[in-house]
Amino acid sequence: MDSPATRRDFLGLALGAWATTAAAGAAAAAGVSLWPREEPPATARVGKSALKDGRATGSLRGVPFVLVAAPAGPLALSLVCTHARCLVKWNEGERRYVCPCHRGTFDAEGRVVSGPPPAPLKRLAVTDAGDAWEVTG
Amino acid sequence: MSWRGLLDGLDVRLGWREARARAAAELARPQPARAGWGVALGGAALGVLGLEALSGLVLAAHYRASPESAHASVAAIRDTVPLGWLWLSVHAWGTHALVALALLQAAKVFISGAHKRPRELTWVAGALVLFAVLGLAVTGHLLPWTNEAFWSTSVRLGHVESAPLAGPAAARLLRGGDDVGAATLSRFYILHVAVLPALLAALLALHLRLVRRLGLAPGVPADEEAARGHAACSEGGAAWLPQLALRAAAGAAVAVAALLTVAALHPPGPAAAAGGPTPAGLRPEWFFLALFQFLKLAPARVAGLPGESVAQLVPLLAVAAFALLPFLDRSPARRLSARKLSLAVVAACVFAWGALTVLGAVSDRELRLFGKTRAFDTYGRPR
Ligand code: HEM
Ligand code: FES
Repeated sequence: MDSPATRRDFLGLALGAWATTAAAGAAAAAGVSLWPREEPPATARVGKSALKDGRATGSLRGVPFVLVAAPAGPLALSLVCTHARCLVKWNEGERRYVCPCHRGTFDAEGRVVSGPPPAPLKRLAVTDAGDAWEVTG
Repeated sequence: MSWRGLLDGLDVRLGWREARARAAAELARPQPARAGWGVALGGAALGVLGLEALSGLVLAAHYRASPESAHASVAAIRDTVPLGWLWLSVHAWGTHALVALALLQAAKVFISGAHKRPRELTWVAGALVLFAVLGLAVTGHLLPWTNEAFWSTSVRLGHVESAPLAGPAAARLLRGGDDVGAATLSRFYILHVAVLPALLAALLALHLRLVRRLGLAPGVPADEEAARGHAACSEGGAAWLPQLALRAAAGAAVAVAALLTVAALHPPGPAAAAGGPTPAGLRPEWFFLALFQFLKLAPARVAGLPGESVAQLVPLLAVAAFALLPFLDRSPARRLSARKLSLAVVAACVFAWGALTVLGAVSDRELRLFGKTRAFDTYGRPR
């Protein structure tokens, strides 16, 4: 015969294991639903006539970018600072993108010049669509 | 049924008389004579917390958590709800008061050596209460959906993203996507009105349960308290009921009166809704200025790793050391004169925190100080 204590211990252990597994499963299921989906790439059109001094701004999913018509071809840069996501602003005098939050600066190609940003401004793909540029990212 | 019969019947079912007798016995125990008016500080924090809960309830009844309606609903609370401006003001000022009172509470406890054995967990629970309050401050800040709040949240989550290991996943989960938007507002709202208040209530219940069970710390060293027992160290002292509870209530009354006065004299004004560019001179609340200023010092890269992620180890370790202080500061001594080393270490940390706070407050600013206009650069150096 089983001693009653052993049987009780076993059932207690089984209950604990079941409760832990159920809680972990429920948490995992909630996590799956809480985890944000990858957003599909969006495309924005910038009319070539909209460029002023060779520059124009637009936005992708509400996030601003700049498009610059350089001699070597058009360049589109996200204006989101790579440090902590403030919006950088082009300063024509310094020829730099300047971040208002912690004074990060980037050159005309988006490379870091000074300050805390760890990476260059994100480049977005540009395609020629006749009378407009199409920016994807 | 008579009133007595009702109470008897409830006692049979709930056993409330036994629970009340146990609590009353604990609250009637004498506390160490030195307890004095120190308990007014904890009482003040409790009073302000109560007002935060009440004002939060009123605000939540009128607030609408979506990017389209949040800003207008807060404007309506301010301009059309009867006394709405006062509840808004009380709720906003109360956050600052609560953080300040919690920090003072920690300072008082450290100075009196009350965090030492056997009250380590009381300290840890108190520190977690403070962290929950800070979480409420951060999540609540976004809710009015002002341009300033939008961008400061974007920056805060940008810093979370740089945190070592779990940073990117935590930032994405909090943001609900790649950028701050409607999903972020929903998530911050539910954290602010449900998750964090529940967590705070549970932690505070634990904190107060421990205070009641262990009694207030006597002035004698921790090993002597363990050997002689709390009762022997408390002879002749006042008990929680009624003396100390009255002092705590007096602290609460003074704090609530002061908060109401400040809130009535300095109500919040209108602020631009989200949707504009990043404002210049973005700066966090006073209690995050030191962190703000410290993270500016991080170079872009350290030893080939992202500089910010490496730099964040310093505040992360400091916060962990704060929460676990009783396990680091282990000598039994309670008198400050017998604790010179730990006092020196903590004083140095507090000084560094204060200095960074001042540098953060003046950085990138022009201020009139002592009759002269002075400009300060990003690092807080006079220009
Ligand atoms: C909103 C925040 C807080 C509230 C409402 C609160 C409430 C209280 C109350 C009512 C008491 C008893 C009366 C007193 O000694 O003042 C107390 C004691 C205590 N608190 Fe807190 N507290 C808070 C934050 C903290 C923090 C941040 C810490 C430390 C990190 C802390 C550590 C302690 C300790 C160790 C005691 C026991 C003191 C003793 O035995 O002399 N508390 N708290
Ligand atoms: S967010 Fe741009 S420098 Fe920090």
